[in-house]
Amino acid sequence: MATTATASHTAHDAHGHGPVSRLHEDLPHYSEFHIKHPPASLFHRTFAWLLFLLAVTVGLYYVDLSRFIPIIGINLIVALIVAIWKASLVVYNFMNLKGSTRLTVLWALLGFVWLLLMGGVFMDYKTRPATPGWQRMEYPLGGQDIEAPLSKTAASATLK
Amino acid sequence: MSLRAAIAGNTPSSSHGGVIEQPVSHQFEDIDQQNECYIVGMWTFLVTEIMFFGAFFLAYSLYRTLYPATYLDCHRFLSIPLGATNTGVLLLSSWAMVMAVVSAQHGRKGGMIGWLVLVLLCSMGFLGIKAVEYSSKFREGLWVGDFNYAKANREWIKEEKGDEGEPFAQTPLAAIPGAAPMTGADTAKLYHHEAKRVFPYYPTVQELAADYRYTTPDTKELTKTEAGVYTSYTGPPSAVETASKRAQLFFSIYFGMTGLHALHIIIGMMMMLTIIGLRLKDHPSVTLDYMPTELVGLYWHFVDLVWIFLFPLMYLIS
Repeated sequence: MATTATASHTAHDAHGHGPVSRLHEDLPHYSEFHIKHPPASLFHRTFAWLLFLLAVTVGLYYVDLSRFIPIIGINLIVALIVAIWKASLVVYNFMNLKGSTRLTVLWALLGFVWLLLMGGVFMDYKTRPATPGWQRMEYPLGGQDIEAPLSKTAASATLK
Repeated sequence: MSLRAAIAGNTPSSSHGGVIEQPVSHQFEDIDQQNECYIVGMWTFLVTEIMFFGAFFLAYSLYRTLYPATYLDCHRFLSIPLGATNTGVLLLSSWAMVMAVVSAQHGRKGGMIGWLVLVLLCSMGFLGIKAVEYSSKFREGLWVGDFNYAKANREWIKEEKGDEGEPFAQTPLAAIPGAAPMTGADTAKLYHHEAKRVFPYYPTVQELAADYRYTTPDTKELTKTEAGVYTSYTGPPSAVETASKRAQLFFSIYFGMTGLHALHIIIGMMMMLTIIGLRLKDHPSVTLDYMPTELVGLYWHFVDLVWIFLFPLMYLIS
C-alpha cells in the first residue's frame, strides 16, 4: 500500500485491479492484506466459553477468595481478569481481530493504549492531597471544635 | 460505499467456496484493500468510543478508590440475577450477530434476516430487563434527581429482612427508654451500633477519620479518640448525610454508565433495523457486500464488550 502514491498516475483495469495490486500478488506476504474468516464452529465454541465464564464471574461473587489468597481486593482482581478474558474472546473471535490485517490489529490496540494513558491521569489523584472543598460540607463543624457538647449537635435535634 | 460498483454491473457469484464476491469500488486497488479500509475506519470510530466510556470508567475507579465502603453498600440495591440475565442476553445477541455476518458472507438471505431478528429480540429483552431495574430504582428513591437514601434502605430492609426495620435517620433513639441522660460517648456508640444495624456497610469510625484527614492537617487528635471523632465531627445525622451523598454519587455513575450503554443499544437496534430493511428490499449494498453487516457487527460487539466490564464492576462488588 505504500507504493500506491507512486502508481497513482496509472490507470486501473476493468476489475479495479491496478498494476500495484498485481505487484502485491507476486509478493509472498500478500496474504497479510487478506482478511481471513474463521469457520462458524469457532463462534459456537466462543459463545459456549463466554457463557461458562459468565457463570464463573457470578460464582466468584459468592466466594471470598481472600480466605485462600491473602491479597487485598483479590476478588476484584480475579473478576477483572475473567472480564478481560471474556473481552479478548469477543475481540479476537467475534470481532475477528484474529483474521484481520496488521493495520486493524494496530488500530484496535491503540484504543486500549488510551486506557493506559488514562491510568496516568489517575495517578495524579493519588499523588496530591485533596483540597478542602465540597468535602468540608460533610463536617459542619469544620474541624474547629473538637470538644463540642453533644447537646448542641446531633442528639438534641433528633430526640425532639 | 460499493454501491456505485454494484450498479455498474457487477453481479454476485459464488466463486469462492460459497462466499459472495464483493464488488470493488473504483477508488480501491482490490477487494482486500477495500475491506481493510472499511474495517479500520470502523475501528477508528470504536477507539473514540473506548475513550468515551473510558472517562466514565475513570470516574468509577476514582470514587471506588476513595469510597470503597459506599460502593460495597450501594451494590446491594442492584439485582444480580437481572444483571446476569442481561449479560447472557447480550452474549447471545453477539453470537447471533456473528452468525448473521456469516450468513451475509455466504449470501443467505433467510439466515441473515433470521439472525438479525434474533439480535433485535435480544436487545429488546435487554432493554426490557433494564426498564424493570430502572423502575424499581425510581420506586425505591434511588434516582439521581429524587434521591432518598433512608427510603431506599427502608425498602431494602422490607425486601431482604421481611420486617419494617426502623429507619435510622428518622427515629434513632425513640425506641430506647431513658435514652436522654447519656454521655456523649455512649450516644455515639449507640448511634454507631444503630447505623451498623440499618446500614450494613456503614463506614467505620476509622474510615470516617481517614476521610477527615482531607479536611484538616491535624489528624493525630482525631484518630486518638474514637467517640470524640464521632460526636464532634461526624455526628450521626451528618454521617447519614455523608453516606447518602456518596450513595447518590454511586448512583449517578451507575445511571450515567448504564444509561449511556442503553443508548448505544438503542442506536444499535436502529442500525439492525436498517440492515434488515435493506436486505428485505434486496438492496445491492447488502446483497452484494457483507461489509455493512460486518461493521454493524463490530459496533454491536463493542456494546457487548462494555457490558462485560460493567456487570462485574457494578453488580458484583464484594
